Amino acid sequence: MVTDAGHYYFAVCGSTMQMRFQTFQSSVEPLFWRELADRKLDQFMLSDAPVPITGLFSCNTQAGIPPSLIAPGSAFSSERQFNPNMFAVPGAVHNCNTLEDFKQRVAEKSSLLEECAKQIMADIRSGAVERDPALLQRFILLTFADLKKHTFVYWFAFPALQPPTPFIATTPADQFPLSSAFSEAQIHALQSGYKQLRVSAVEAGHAPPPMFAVLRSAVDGSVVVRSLADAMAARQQTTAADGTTADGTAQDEWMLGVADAGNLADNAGWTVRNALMYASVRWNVPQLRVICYREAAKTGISTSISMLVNLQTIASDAPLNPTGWEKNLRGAAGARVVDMSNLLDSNRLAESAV
Amino acid sequence: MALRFLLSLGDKYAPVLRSSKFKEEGQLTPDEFVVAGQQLVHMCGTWSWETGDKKSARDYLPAQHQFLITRKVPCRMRAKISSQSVERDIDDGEGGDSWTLTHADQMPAKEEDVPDAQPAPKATAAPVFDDDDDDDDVPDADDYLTSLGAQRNDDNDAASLEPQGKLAVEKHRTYDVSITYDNWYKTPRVWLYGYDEYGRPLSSEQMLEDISSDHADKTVTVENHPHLNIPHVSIHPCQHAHVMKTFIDSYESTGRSLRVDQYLFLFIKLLSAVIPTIDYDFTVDMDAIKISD
Repeated sequence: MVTDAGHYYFAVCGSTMQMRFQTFQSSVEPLFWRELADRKLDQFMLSDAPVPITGLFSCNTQAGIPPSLIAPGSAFSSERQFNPNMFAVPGAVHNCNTLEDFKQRVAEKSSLLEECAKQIMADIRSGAVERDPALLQRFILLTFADLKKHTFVYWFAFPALQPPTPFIATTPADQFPLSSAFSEAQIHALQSGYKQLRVSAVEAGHAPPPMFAVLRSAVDGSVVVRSLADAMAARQQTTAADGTTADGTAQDEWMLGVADAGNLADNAGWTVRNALMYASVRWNVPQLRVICYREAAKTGISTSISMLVNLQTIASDAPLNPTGWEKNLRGAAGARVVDMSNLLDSNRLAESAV
Repeated sequence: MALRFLLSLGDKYAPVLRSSKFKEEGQLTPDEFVVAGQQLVHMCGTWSWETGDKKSARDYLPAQHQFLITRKVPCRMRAKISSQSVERDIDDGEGGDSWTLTHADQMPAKEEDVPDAQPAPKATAAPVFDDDDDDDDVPDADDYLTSLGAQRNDDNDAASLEPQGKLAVEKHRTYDVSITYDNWYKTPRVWLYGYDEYGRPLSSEQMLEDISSDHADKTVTVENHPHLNIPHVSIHPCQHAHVMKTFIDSYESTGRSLRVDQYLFLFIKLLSAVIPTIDYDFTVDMDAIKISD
């Protein structure tokens, strides 16, 4: 037994337990391109200032399917219709007037990413993320729209802040399944609690929060889901940062839940990455259990995973080292091109309607 | 073409059905469509309402409830090589034999081996710039990638797992499935728009590979989506009311009564016959029907 435990300890400390995160794959709806083209003609004109858009992701990606960050046809609309199961992500489209401009933006892409990363960190430190957890998952879209040919050159970035050293999960991967850390009743409370949180946000006219806090009672093991803002307020009332109450007896455990588009059994998805940076800065605990929340109609939340993660101290002047430009189809750093002429060209549309 | 054009006008300008005929005719009024849609959204979290293109809004539907959509539904193999799955899917249904009976004539007869990883045609989505030498506006792909080579400073991110490469082991496709109200046939109508494993749009021809071969030539057409104005694959609604009437009768023959808000749960079952490879369990928890009994 001792040997086994020692074995685990070795594995945990080995570099194999450094956390890796499943990236988003961009997916653009055809209507998005038409909306972009229409706005280029009617609104942007020659302006290439960034324009706010809203992307979507869900936490029910099935096995074998890459997690999508969707740019929907409604991305430009300010009238929002929220669904408790679709998470809205704030983004900005930088539409360039010429291909030369696009290349110029690409040459400056590091500073674009850096700027976005600074905004994310500012929102973490100011507490804005607790009021609106979606602020943690921003995205950037560089585009050039060739309106004559109906082709679009584009490049997505899903900025992720990197800690000084990689995050380490101390839970062995074979104990990632929810059932390793939670009873059936606790899993049920987790699912219904988070659903309630999302539904009440949508009913109040807000987007469903992609992050939440969980409190597990040391006394009876009961699990309660709270909003991040509520959790922050409640945690400040306890005397110790690890959730110990004033009399020092009960060790209630606070955990962080993150809506996870990923579907790998051994890896968290992309949204968890910035969530760990957030927790490192704001939660003031050395170690935290993170729930990568995944939910599907048939399987419930059984594909979710959870692990204890060693958090880090992030100095206020620490470099953010943002990463996240999407690779192109060759797996290289590069833009993508989509030819939408068969969908957007009015002459060809008339032909295809025959 | 002329006929289809007239029908498309009919959808927009035909008189609106006001009195409920869902049990007698298998049809819905626009109000009933909204009621049934609300129930679908409520019970099945992957569905949501959309407004679509405002210029195409139908005034007989509320502005916020123009049509229903569920995005990124997995479709793992082409219909032509998975036709045997049709029978099993239908047998799982509530109505037992009657479901199978309803679709007995729709079973695809032949099985053809179709490679499931056909490259997308250039006209739909090119992975990189095209190589037209006669075109000065569009640079050569390799030139362009080379021009980016100087500053790949975020390439050394050891903590990211890319969707491409070894993780993309399955040649899957995904579909956006939407349900509109067809005011000519007074029934819901289904529209499909597909993407390949890289998230690129599929061509109409590629999408038709996912339709069961019996329907690909007849009941399935490529038309402009009424609220998105982008060509989609659509199941023609001319038989929907008839089939739904049959479905409702067989459901009620077991002594139960179907409420109009349950209409779309049954309607989605109909989909599985035409698009056997699309994972409709993903979009609707079929227990929803049992729950609402």
